Amino acid sequence: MTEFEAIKELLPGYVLGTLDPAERMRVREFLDACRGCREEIAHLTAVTERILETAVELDPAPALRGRLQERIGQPAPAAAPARPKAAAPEPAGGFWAPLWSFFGRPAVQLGMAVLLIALIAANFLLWRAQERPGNHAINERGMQALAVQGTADTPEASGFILISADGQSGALVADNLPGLAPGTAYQVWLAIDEAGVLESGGLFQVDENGYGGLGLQATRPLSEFTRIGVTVEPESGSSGPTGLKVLGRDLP
Amino acid sequence: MVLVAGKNGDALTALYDRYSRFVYSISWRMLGQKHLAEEITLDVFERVWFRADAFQPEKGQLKSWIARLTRNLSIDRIRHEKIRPEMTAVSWADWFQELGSRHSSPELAVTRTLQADRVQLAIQELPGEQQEALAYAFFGGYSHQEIANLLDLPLGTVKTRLRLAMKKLAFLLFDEELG
Repeated sequence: MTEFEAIKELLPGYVLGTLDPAERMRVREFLDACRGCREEIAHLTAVTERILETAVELDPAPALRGRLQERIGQPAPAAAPARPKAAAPEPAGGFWAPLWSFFGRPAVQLGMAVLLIALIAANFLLWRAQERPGNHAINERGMQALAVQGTADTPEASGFILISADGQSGALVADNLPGLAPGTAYQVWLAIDEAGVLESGGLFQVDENGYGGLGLQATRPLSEFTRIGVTVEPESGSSGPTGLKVLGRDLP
Repeated sequence: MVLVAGKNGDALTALYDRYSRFVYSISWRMLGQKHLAEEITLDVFERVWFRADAFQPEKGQLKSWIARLTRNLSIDRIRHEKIRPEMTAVSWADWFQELGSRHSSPELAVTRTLQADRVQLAIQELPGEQQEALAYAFFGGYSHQEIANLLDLPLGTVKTRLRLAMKKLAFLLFDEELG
């Protein structure tokens, strides 16, 4: 094995931090003369970053913010601003840049773009406060936004389900849902009544206005399901609905 | 970051408000303990404050830099505190487990879900033995030799499994064929 081949073998460990100090030094010394190695490190680093970016976001204790200020010797800041209702501003590159980098393949990019455009459109529909429930074609490709109504217990709640034109994927956005008790979350349920199928479509939280949503997760195309519902469940999720039902509708 | 490098406390606070959940989430997943995750979160932003000049925008986005910093500090803590997987029990299933997460908007919730789905599918395409070795390396901070000892494998086998796993992920996630 040549030195080049040996170093290439070590590059994943270099990026993952699993090399011993001597191996690390050996790679480092070789990098200056090996442009291909540096490029490979960049690609491998991107893989680790992509995995890290999928960490499910959790809230740290509010007091942590003040502790940081103490550590760096700065005066205590004002309270954290309320979570915005619209999309939060993103770091360098903006919201769309990381989105496009998430989904590198052209087919995925197209599907994602349609889904996100539809999601924004659904927010617009929510804002318009539609007077009656119904189905709304979002674009020429036949993507649909289906209005979802609150239940007798939550008459103020409303939302939209977005289903891609091919019926394979979709999202839910909801508004005016009741606030959640600590340790609970909203869980989406997808059902095919005649087949006795019931599965979770995912968990989500809402902001102080009861606004929230998620990309729906399902083991089969969304177009196969006949009913959707949202209930309050423990934040780790339930195997079946157990809590208050807040949204629901039949699917066409 | 220019403002943070200039020791502007408001800029750091803004950065904290934007990324603290991200940092906390990574460290919580890796360390499995709330108080350690909070310590890492403070360590990360303290490092950002005192070493802001180490961020090189031409080498990538700030969020990526913070993610790497968080993982590195978490692994340092795992090694220092001698926290081991039998305690934190980090696996790929743990990592992707949904916990009713709060996102700043449904739009971000959608992008996160779909991104995680894609990464999860890519991980699932790896052979089980590669997933296992990668989990030890990625979450546990184990060295090649330590993984070889844990799995009772030759050192070369561990290196090969990690290399094949990372190569395949690069291909599945970025269409990159690595040599």
